[in-house]
Amino acid sequence: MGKAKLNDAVFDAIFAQAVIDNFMDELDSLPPDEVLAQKYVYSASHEERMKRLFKKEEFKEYFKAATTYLKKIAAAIVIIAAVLFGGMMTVPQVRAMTVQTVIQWFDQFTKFAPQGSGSNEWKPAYVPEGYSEIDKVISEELSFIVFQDNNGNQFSFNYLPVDGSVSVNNEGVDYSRITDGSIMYHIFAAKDALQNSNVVWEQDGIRFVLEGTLPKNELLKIAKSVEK
Amino acid sequence: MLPIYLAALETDQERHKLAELYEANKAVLLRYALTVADSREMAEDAVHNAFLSVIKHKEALLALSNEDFRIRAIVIVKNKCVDLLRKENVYADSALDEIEYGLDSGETAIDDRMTIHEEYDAVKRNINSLDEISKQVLEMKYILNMSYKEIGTELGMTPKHVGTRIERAKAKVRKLIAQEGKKRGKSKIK
Repeated sequence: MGKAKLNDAVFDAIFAQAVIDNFMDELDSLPPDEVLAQKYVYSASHEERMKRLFKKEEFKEYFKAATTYLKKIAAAIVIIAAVLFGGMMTVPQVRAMTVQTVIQWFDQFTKFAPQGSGSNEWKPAYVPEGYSEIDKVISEELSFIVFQDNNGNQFSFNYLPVDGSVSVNNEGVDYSRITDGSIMYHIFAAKDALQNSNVVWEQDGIRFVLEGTLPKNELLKIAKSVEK
Repeated sequence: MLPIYLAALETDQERHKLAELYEANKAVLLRYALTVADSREMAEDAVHNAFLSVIKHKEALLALSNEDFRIRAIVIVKNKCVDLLRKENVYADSALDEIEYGLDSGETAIDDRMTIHEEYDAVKRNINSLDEISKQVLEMKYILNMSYKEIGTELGMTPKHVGTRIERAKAKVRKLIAQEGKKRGKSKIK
């Protein structure tokens, strides 16, 4: 290696180390966190915004995790049911009963049992002004699209294209339902403005859940605009 | 009902960790954001946007140690400040890409004059003279070990542009050190 190249290599190594040490020296020179916390205080509106952000994220994760567990149970129940009722499916009354949707109130959750199956990509044609898509997962088991506005407010559009089950929190909500054509929309309007409301419905064998802190009428408008 | 509660327990730890990390680091993040942003409001927006980014990459970031998360979060917050400043066109007149950082006559290449330790001190002294975008690129490269492509994706640059930024930053620091040496040489002569 020539002297010039060696010098360049040495300089490059020194430069890289200096960048790291410069950063770490500044970080190490900071006062303890307790002192920083006294000096660097956020505005109330910012803290409120962060609180909403974490709450929405928590609910989204909880919903995804709960759905995963319930799908496993639903799959087990469907298999057992198929074995038990397989021989009875020739009876018209039993066939009608097994394809009917059942809504059951549990202590904390309302559960929608499987009705049919179908799989395609869906999305709302109407999105409130200021909102844009920021995240999207499309899969056979669970699909969702997350929308967000400039203030960090989010709503999510979720659907299960197969015979899974979904649950929504029915504590602290006002329940109502609206029929539009052949579709019944189940509305769980949160009493706390910071808590998510949900609209749940079934369409073409797909189960949909819309959740967010938007007013229930706005969520319903979004729900009614959903299309393939 | 048990699986629902199990799901809740599993996500509970994860859910709270995000909020805990925010509480543990928010003061230091605001402190760093204020060194780059041109207003308190912008600094707060940068912290908010940084956590949107943390949520997006939370699987990787929540697995980090507290110290590593803090380092990563600081770099992300400063990136978000730069993003916001760029949206306000603050860096529109940046002439970094147009300036050639060669040595003027009379300036001696640093390697011939300094020991490695002196050179190291000189580099550290002059790194803070660089513009914010260049400093961000350097921190992402040398502290977070990101590739040119990853840095480019974060900052909206091509990988080639990232490489150019790094080389020009080095060239600028070398020139500043050479200028220091020239001044020292003149004062010695006096």
